[in-house]
Formats: sequence, C-alpha cells, structure tokens
Amino acid sequence: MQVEEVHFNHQGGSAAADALTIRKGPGGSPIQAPEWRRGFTPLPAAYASAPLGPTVTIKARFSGGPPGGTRQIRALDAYVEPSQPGGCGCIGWLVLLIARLIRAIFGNVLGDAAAKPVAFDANGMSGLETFTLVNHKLKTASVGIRTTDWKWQQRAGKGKGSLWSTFDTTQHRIYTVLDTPAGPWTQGAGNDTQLPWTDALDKACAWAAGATTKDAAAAAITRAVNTQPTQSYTPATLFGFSTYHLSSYLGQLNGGAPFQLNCTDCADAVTTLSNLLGCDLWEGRFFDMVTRKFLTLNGNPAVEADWVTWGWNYHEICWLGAIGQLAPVYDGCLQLDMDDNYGDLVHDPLHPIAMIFGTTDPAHYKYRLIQSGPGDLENVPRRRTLD
Amino acid sequence: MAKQRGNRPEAAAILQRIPRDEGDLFRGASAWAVDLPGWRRSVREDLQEGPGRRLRRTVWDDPRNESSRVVVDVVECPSAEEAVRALLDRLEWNQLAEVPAGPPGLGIASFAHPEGVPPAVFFARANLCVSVANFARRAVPVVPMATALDRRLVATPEAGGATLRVEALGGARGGPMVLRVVVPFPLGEEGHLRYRARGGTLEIRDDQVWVIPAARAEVQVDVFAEETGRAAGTGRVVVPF
Repeated sequence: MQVEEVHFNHQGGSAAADALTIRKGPGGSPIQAPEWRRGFTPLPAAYASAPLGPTVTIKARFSGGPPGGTRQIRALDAYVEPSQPGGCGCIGWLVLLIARLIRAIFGNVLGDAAAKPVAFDANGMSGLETFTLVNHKLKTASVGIRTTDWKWQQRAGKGKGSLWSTFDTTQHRIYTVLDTPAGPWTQGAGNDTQLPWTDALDKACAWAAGATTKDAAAAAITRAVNTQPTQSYTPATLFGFSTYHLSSYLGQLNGGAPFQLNCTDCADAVTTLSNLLGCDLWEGRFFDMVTRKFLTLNGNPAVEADWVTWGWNYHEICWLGAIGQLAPVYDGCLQLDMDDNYGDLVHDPLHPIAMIFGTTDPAHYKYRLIQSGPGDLENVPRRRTLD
Repeated sequence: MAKQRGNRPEAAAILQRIPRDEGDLFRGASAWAVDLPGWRRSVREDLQEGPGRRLRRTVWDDPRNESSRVVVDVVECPSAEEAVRALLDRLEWNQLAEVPAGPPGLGIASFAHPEGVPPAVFFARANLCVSVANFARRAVPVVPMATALDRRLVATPEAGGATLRVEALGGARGGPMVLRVVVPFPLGEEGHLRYRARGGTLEIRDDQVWVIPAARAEVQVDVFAEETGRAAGTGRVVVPF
C-alpha cells in the first residue's frame, strides 16, 4: 500500500478547516492540491491560525490496498525523540533540550491524522478520503516554517489483536501565519497574482519566526527591513509607487548584492510582509519637513556619519489600522534618536514600532523625527498591488 | 499622477515641448551594455508600473568593485505625453524637497539628484521615461550612462538589415490608423521596435501602435527593428492625407 496524494488546501476560498490558497510568486499559477503527490516535488501549504475552526482536515488517496477490502489508516508524527539520558549526564539533557527547542520551532505542527476506515476498489485504489487532524498546533503556532514527517500506518481491523504497520512516509513544508493575510494579499479564486506568495512567506516567516501576536510580527518585520545588511538609503523610490515590485525586492534580498531603497520601498516591504502574516498595516505619507538627526537605513549607531538629517518633500511610513494623528506607526526606513540633546554626539537609537504618530510629545514619533516643517498628513491609505 | 507637493515642476510647461507633427515611439526598449561600457548586467526584469506603463529594469554591476551598482529603469508609456507624466510621477515619489533640472539636452526634460545624494538622473524621451540611479553605497556618476542611452534613443539606426513589412490599417482617411509591422526574424530579449513619424505622432492604444496625422498632413513612418549585434531591419509606410 502507498500514499498517492495528500491535499491540504482542499476547500478553495475557505481557511476555516484547511490551508490557505497560495502561489509561488507573481508568475505561474496558484498551488493546487494535492500539494503532495507521489513522484512529484512536494509543494508547501500555509495555515492561518485565527480563522481555523475546531476541526482541521486534510484529504488523502491511497493505492495498493486490499482489492474490495477495507483498512484502518492513520498518519503519525514520524519524529523520534533522542532517548532520555540516564543518570545525571548534563550534556545528554542539554542535547535533549535543544532537540525539543528546535522541534518546537521547526517541527511538526500538523499533529497526526486520526485513524479512519478506508475502502478500496477492485484495483486496490481508494477514493479521496478526508482525515481529521488531531494533536495539531495550528491554532496556537507562532509564525514559522515547519516540516512535518508523517508515517502512514494501516491495520486490518479495530481490535487489540490488529497491529498497526507503517506502509509509507511523507514530508510536508508548512507555513504558519497568525491570521488570514490582509491586503494587498487576497484569497481570491482563479489565477490571482495577489494570492500569498511562498517566495514572500519564506522571507516574512523567517523574519518574524516565533511571533505569536500581530504586534510582535509587525515589530519583527520592521526591524528586519531596517537592518538588512545589503541595503542603503536613496531618496528615489526604486521598487514602485504605483505597483510594488515585491518580486524585484525579494530578488535583491536573496541575491546578496548591495542595493538601495527609500522610505516608500521600506513602507511597502513592512506593510506587505506584515500583512502577509495577518497584520493590518497601511502606508501613508506626510509632507514638508526638515528632520532631526536619525539613524539611516541599516546604519551603525556607533558611526556618527550614519546619523543624518534630510529636507524631505514627503516621508512614507506604516500605520496600524488607519492613518491618524494618534495612530500607532511603524517605520522600517530609519531609527529615531531618543536622546533629547540633538546637538551632541550622544544618540539613543529606537526602531519606530507601534509609536503614536503624535504631535509635540517627546514620546511621539513626529516630535522625534521632525525638526521643522508641518509634516501634514496626506491621509491616503495605500496597500500597493504587487508584481 | 499623484497630488503634487513641495517644489516640483509643472507638467504643462514640459508638455509644450513635445512636437505635434513628429515623434518617435519605442516598444521593448531597455538599457544595453553599450550604454554602460565595462559594466556587467546582473538583473533584467519586466514589471508593471500602473495602467499602460511597462517597466524594463536592468541592474548593472561593476566587476571591479562590488559596492558599485546601477539600476536603469526604462518605462514604456503609451505616448510622449504619458512619458512626461511618468517622469513627473518619479519626481513626486522622490523624497528630496527639490530635485534640480538635469544636464541640458538630456531627454525632452530631465532631473537629477544634487551633490551629496546617491546619484540618480531621470529623463523622458519619446514614449520612454528613463531613470539611471545609483544602486549601492559607492557613488557612481550616472549622467554619462544616461547620456549614452539617450544618444542611442535619438540616433538614427544604421540600416542594412532585413526589410520589414509595414502597413497602416483601418481608420478614416486623414485620421488615426493602426500600424502593423512584420519582422522577418525573432527579436531577442534586448530587441526593440523603433517607430519614427514625420507629419504626425505615435501612440500605443490597446497594445497596438497608432499613427495620428498632424492637421492636413501626409505622415511618413519609418520602423526599425533593433538589437545588439545585428544591423537594424527597416521598413517604411506613407499614410496619405
């Protein structure tokens, strides 16, 4: 007997009981179930925690079964934990602890597929059978990319005398995000290029790995965008102002060569990658300002030349929920100087993460960024279409 | 085009510079290695820049210094007017309080980052909006690259290649007509078509090139199929008044 197919996103348009609808990137077509198919390269699946209901299911098909017969089938976690060390061997316990930690971050999140009877036709083929996931952590999982190894087992009957035997193994790459991706991402039907891209999930889930709240996820993405070592600042928007060229940005990040970007590009990256994880950010501009000294994109706080001021026509940042004077903002393009003396060489860098935009309060973003000029809000929230 | 703030040029003054009785139009144009001698292309991308605008991006690395990179964006617009608007959009989405005018003679209009800022220059030529920008920390003089590219866009290609079949189809006499061009060889990824009209202008509508006669004029359209390493294919059609 062997597994022929495993389906994770088996109910298009819904993420309450199965996986999200995703695609690799802007080209090609959406990833279609079965994500795992015998003889083919396995495709990943992604789950959003918040919309999942009490029952999560997958579907699977089998071959080589008893012609006209029935078998109980289940899938169990194939992971084998290192044996517990005897005595007081500290190194052994440490190894065990590290193994459990790694497993918690990267290991099985799907749990097991509960046993059920599967009928086979005269050719030993099953239908597409629905299995309920048990012991899964999809509702509580942090942001991450995990691998599940399943051993598929069968037995002839239900009685105690009928032993389970493993007949196949499958491996699955699973992305976990906190909520249904928000705009510009969609869960539309057809060949929608705004479906979540696995190319983007790779980056967002790595940058925000371990985040269990949307605030933490947006904070991690903001820090990551600001500190990528290959980036530096230019005032020109280089990754799109009408459409966001996310594929181009990811290509530069993955290419490893240095490249430049501006505040709009950073706001696009923070909004798009945070919202992919289920956050609710918008981009918006404010106008006409001379800034105080701030730490430039990917700057070194210990290098005075990296503390800069600019005269800007506009600056674009990310807003939580809506643009407003008292709304929390995220800025991946710079770090503010929280030291009150702007004339000396003492600086206290701070990533603007969930700071109130504000007015004249020294704890607020606007006070810390703008030395002079109105900084008027444009109040046009944006989530740019991706290509 | 987004709302204009700060110190930005008015569109009307630049649009007046566009001739009404002649014009060039490009389809498929991008930067070539001859525009950046000694540089190595590492990226070529085909992207969208809003409705009707297609962005061909190339990134060029200096093999002698890994901190030197240049990005060249060539935005193909439906018309020369749209190219000017695309240029102004680029200024609108530039954070600098002021983006000074670029070198005289570069494009129909040009703008450049001032000293002390990562170098970048932006210009419009025919239906193209072009930007040549520093893409890594080490400042690279980008104006010579932009100038070389612009000269190539303006120059009449050396003919001698295959003959193109060019037809003007449909439309009422004296009105806009669709141009159909048959190129007898496959153009490579760097290949482009250049249309040059005298007595009228050119536009892309619904993915087709249209010739729009100036008032009471016969229009001559020369078409060139150009790519590196091959003599340009040429063809001509005369649209009578």
